[in-house]
Amino acid sequence: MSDYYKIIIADDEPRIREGLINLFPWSSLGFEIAADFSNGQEVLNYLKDHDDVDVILTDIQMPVMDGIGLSARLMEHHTKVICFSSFQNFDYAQSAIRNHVYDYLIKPIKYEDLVSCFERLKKDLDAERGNSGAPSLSSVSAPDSVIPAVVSYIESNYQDCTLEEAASMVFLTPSYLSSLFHKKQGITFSDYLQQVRMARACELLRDPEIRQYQIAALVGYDNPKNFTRAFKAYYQMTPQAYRQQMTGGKESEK
Amino acid sequence: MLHTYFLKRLRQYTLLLMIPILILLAGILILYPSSVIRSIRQESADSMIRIEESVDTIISDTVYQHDLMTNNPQLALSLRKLLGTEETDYNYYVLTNSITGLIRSVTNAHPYIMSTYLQLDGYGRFFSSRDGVSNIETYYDRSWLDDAKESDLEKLIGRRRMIAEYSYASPVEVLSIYQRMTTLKGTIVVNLYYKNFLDKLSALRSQDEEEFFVFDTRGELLIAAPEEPGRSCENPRFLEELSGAVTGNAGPLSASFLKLDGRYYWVSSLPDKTSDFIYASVLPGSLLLQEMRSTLLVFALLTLLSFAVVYTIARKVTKDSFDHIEQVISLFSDAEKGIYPKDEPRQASDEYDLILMNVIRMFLRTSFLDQQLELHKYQQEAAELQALQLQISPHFTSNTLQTLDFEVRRQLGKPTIINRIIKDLSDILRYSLGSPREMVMLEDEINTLKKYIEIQKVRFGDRITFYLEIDDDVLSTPVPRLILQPLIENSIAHGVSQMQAGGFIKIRVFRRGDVLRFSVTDNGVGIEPEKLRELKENLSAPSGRHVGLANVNRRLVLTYGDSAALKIMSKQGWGCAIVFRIPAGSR
Repeated sequence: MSDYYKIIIADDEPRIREGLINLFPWSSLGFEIAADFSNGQEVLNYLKDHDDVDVILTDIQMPVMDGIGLSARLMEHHTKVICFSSFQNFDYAQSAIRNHVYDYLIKPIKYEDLVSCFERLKKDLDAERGNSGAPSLSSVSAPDSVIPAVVSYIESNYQDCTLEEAASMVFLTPSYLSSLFHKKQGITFSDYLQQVRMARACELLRDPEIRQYQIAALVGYDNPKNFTRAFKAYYQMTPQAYRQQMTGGKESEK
Repeated sequence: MLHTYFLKRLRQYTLLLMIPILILLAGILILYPSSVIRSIRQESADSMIRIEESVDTIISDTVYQHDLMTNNPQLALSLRKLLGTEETDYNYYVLTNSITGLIRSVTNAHPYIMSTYLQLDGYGRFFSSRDGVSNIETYYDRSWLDDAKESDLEKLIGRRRMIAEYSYASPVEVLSIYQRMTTLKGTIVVNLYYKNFLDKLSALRSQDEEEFFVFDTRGELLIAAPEEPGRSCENPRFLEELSGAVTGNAGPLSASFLKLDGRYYWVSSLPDKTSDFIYASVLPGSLLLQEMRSTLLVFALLTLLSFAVVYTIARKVTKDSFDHIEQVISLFSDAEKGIYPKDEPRQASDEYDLILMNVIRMFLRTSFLDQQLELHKYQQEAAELQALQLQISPHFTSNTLQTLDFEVRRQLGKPTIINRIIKDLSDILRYSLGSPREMVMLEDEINTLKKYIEIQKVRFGDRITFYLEIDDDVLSTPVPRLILQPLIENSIAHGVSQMQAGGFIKIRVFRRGDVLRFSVTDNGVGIEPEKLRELKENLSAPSGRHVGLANVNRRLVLTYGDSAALKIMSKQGWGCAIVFRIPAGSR
């Protein structure tokens, strides 16, 4: 498993450590967790015996040695450090930047933020180490159940679904899911979402009782104008025209 | 506006300045001509007297001496004897010589006397100072004889005539003066060189424009001095009218304006006491105007100059006062926006200015204190709020949310609506923890608002529909943080939350000219008039309830001035609208 870059996680709260280890698609990102600790000192102790650690993902507020202290001691070390902390704290961020940390994430950590951060890190590490190719995409095969799950997610959450949420649901990176979806379905994620939304809008337009702004909101547009624009771009006719056509000109609205 | 006030002031100043100038002008116009006339009258009277004296001198020198001489009975007898006899003996010779010597002594003493004749009535010979005893019949000058007959004892008479001594010589113009002798029946004739006499008279004039005329009582012109081309003496009509005017004068010196040949002249005339001469001095009326012209010119220049000064002053004063007004206006409007002049305003220029400055200073101080007080209150509240916020540390909140997030995903095996709520909530919390005085982009404000709406949608489901109409071109406008969220909260709490379905809340932001308008409208149950009034009062003086709206209102007013205050409109059963506007792209 030497293809994967090694991560150490440091946080004083075991639940969060556990979540970080288990809830992110590390292998699909090209990383593996080597160890986890509850403070900076333990990390330093571990590093004395292990030279193959590539990344340290550390909380800032920890007992004994905090994330800033840890990053200060690792300035000359080849290991990359990524910090995370509660909300914005300018002082912490400033110290972290002075200590050359690779990135700075805010708790609660968003799935897409962490994933995009590690995707970027992967590329940088590949370039640094002279590794060609991305082992993650070819070596990791997603289970067959992934795409149907995503499709059903879109169909039931078309109002406010996102690629990131879908990716976190199936435990893949958004970029990987995107290309996988395209490969399997022959259509992009966002095009499919749009298709579902517009089909649903047509259905709703056939019911003269529902007003247009309500339809816009129901299919995920908070600005009715944007809905009208999107509808026209998709069907080359306005929602009003479609409704008139469907209801035989008997426009009951207004 | 500036132009109008400038014209008004110019008119006012001009009037003020023009009144004394006009009074001065009127005074000059009334007093000056009379003083000029007086001086002309004086000059011409002086000239008259000078002429009279001078002519009297000449004439008395000659005529009266002869008269005296002929009054001597012995001399008279000698003269009669001299003119009567044809014999030439020694006695005759001596007599002739002595008379000739006597007469010549006078004649030679005066260069302007050409000759003197002594003539006795009834004698065929007469005595000439030039040629001695001569025969009247054969004498070259005979034209005096007729005139001599007219002479009387009372007055001298003067006649102009020509004497040609030789037939080949050009005639000489003379002025002959005739005088009857007192003791003998005879006439004394004194021939004066006309030219010399003329020159003497010309020299007596007080100024070049003056002209002298001598007429006899018959109205004949004897002398016109100076006798130069272009003078009035060449104008027969003028002379005729002048002679008509002066020959009537029997009394002493008279002077008046006369119209001669269509033009006005100042004419003084004086009849001579001893002769039939009438002297006249004539000054052209244009002289008067000429004298006044220079004065009037100076006056006109003065007026023009003063007008220029008035114009400049009016312009400057108007401009200064407009600058001043502008300054005052900008002071006031700045004060409204919360900008106060750091340096002391400039010095007062007059007493009104001083009063105005004091009023402004007072206003600024009051307004400044008000604002400071407001700001202080707000800062205190903000500090209290911050203190409340800090009681629950962000560290605790974020770790709790993180744990929740992970835990839910771990237990349910996939992200759910709960994860989405946690994400939105933590974003809202993070946003709200930013510095309350720092401005944010409207786009950030809207994005946070959408997250808030997402959570509310989960709570209320299809009961409330939100929609946003935000113009794309206003998204980068800086606004105070969290000014929209309390408005939505108000709409939900007091409007649509009580409805079972069909509630909607519409958020609009659009630009109108240089103003950005915000509106949050709902179709909820509306607010009772009583409550609405309470709510409005509460906006400016918050007391526990509706703190959110009052807080937004105060921050808007503090940032943009009173014009940005919240306006709440509501009708029961129809809904509620809260609107406000801020300057587009300011601060």
